[in-house]
Amino acid sequence: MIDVRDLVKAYDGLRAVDGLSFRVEAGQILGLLGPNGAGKTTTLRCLSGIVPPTSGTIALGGFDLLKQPIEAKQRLGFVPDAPHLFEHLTVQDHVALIARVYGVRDGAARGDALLEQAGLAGRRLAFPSELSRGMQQKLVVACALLHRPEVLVLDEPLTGLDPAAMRTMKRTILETAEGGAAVLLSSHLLSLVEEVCDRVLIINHGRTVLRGTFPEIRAQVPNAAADASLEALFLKVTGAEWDESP
Amino acid sequence: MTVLLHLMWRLLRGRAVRWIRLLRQPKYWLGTLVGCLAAGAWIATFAVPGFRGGRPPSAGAPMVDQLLPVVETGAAIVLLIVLALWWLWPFGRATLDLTETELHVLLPAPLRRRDIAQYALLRVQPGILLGSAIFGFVASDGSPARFAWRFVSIWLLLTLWHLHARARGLWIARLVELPRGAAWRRRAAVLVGVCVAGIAIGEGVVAATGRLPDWTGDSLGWIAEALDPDRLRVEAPALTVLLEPLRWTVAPVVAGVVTDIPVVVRLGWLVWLVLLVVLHNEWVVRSRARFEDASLARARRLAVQEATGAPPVRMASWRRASAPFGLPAAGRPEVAVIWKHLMLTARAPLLLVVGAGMAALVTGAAAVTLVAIPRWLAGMMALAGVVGLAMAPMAAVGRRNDLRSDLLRLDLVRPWPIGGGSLFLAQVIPPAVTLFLHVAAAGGLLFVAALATGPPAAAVGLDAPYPVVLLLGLATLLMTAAPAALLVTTLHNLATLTWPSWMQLGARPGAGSAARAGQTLLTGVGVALALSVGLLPGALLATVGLIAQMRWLGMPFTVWELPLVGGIAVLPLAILIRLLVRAGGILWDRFDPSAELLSAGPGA
Repeated sequence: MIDVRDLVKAYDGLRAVDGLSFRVEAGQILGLLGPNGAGKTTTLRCLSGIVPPTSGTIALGGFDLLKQPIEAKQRLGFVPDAPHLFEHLTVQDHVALIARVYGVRDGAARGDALLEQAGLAGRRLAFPSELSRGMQQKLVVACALLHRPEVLVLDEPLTGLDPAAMRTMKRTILETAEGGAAVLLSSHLLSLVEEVCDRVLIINHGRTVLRGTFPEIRAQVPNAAADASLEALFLKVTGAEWDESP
Repeated sequence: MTVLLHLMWRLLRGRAVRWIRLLRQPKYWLGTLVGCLAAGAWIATFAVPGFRGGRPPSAGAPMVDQLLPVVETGAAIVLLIVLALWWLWPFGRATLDLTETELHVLLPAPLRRRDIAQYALLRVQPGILLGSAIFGFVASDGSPARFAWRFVSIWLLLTLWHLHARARGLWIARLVELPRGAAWRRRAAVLVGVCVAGIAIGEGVVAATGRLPDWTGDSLGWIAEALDPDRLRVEAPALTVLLEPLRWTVAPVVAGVVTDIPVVVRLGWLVWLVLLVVLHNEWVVRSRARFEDASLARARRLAVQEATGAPPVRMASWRRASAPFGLPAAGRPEVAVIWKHLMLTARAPLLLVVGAGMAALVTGAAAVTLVAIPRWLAGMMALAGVVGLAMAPMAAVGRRNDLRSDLLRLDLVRPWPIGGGSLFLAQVIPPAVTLFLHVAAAGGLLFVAALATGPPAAAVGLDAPYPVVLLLGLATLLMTAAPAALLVTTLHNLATLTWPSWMQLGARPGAGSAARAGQTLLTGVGVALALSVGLLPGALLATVGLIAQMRWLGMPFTVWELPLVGGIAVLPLAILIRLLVRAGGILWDRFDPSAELLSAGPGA
């Protein structure tokens, strides 16, 4: 479960995230949407403990990230917007490292299974620079899932993936949620959000603009058609022009 | 070319503006103040006569006056050997110092190829000018005229070296593009030149060794005899002819401190150097070798190093599977951080490294005990050991297997469930281990050298056999080195957390000269202060203990107490490290990288 209340992150007086509150229950997938500069990445970085929030509270799996950071982080799996890996470690080194960091006792067996699933079983001794971007992304996801996180946070998880890998990634996200994890997904690919998310949170200038299930969102947007696409709703509420032509 | 000069100016201006913006933060202007004071004090020791015992001007000039021809000859011979070997080595890349962005912007632009090459040569000039100014200042003894001379001569020589390196790379790359016959003709011409140099050097060596007096320990006189230019002129004429242009090349730098050289001669040297620089510059900018691909490959490699903290890895499969130690899934998580960082230095098993070191020590000790080695060899080993010990703190600056690489991977490291204190400790241990091994190797060399030379007069009457005394000394050195190494790496990491924009993050060689200077200054001051604070109380404690033992208890000092005294001496240091690590943990927990390190800043 993810519980965020009144989250504020300010830089030099500018509030990148301005009083954001939301909750993701176990088994749910929340899509975090917003135009460039809306505060999505900053929100995710606050949630994963990379940057400290200016104020507000964040609870992951029932633990306060600021007061009980170890317990909270133990339950978190984070996939950043770019596949950041250690260039001097091989694929199997990454699995061994993450298994030790999170104390995954069956780390070797689970790592084997995840690498097999990701199509990396034959590349155990490869360094990240020898992998394609898509394969690097798969390794990052495998590392994030190694310790069976209760909370999974993904920032643009489909970037650089080929169609087959995108499909595998979507399935992985759905299976992780079905396994009882709370999933927060940030993406500019609205089709992905429509496909895998139960609920959507649209933010702009660090504040909530809309939230809810798709029908709830449609109901909140004035003059929205009953079958309006998420793209149309998104452009309308974020102030961008909506042109019906493709 | 005007456009490119404008680009260079804008880039320099951008760097300066970024630096000034950092000074808005109190920690940076405070750091600048401390750094400037430290640098000022350091420079003053060279530039201001008498300051903190600084050298009086021209103190060594008479001796340099006498030895100048010999030093010039020596420097010219070294240059000749280096150049001959360098040109004999048949590999080189047609690279110019351009970034990936510059290559992508400049190559498709409607600019002349030679202008792009000229821009690439000019863009390294700020670094060369800065280096020349520092060297010139240090060697000027506070005299503006000396500084001007030193600065100009060093700048010309460094520029020439840089141009020659580029020209050689382009020349070798061009061979691949030429028809086979033409390429072979060029190779043969170079080979003939190198052979002539080799023969001339051989002639010189034979001539010099044939008339050398026996080694009496007067190394200066022995070297002066060997390199006497007048005798070389008679006995090795070919070498003398070859050396003449090289003597002219090194003469301005070598003769910088000698005052009574006529102005005409000095101007002659400078004209010669300027001529060489101009010719080399034309050689590079007119080269038809395709520098684009190699330059792009180099720029990408450096970009990867800068972004990831590690150079691209090429490694055999068997090495990829090895690690400093096994890492089972169960256990303290911070050990994984140590394991990861040690791998950035080497993948060799740690036990194997230690075992091999011990075996080398035992073998060396046995060898010098059984077989008498020449004194000069023992002297060289001792010198290597002393230099190794003196270089140890610099080794810590060079190693970045700690926060200086992990700050580039915050997206990975910050979400890990490891407490600040534990994580900080895990960051400082790996470079300390590397540093400790470095000191142990240097100490081992000193041990073997001392064993080979035998006990000095002061060692007579000690209450233990000489080898045992040496072993106890080595043990004490290592006992002291361990906390000292940890202190040095702790300070580097504290500075990294406090001034991340000033630290050289990642493994890009030579990147961020300003960052490197800032890091060296700040950590240099910090290490000096901390070592004083940490070691002085320990030394006092050990002294008081020894006085109490000898005066009040009437027990004489025995060498067997050495490790105990070392242990007592480093006790306060250990306490200081503990406090600093705790402070580092708190800093890490409160660390906000968003403003200085993460690419997506406000509003992302």
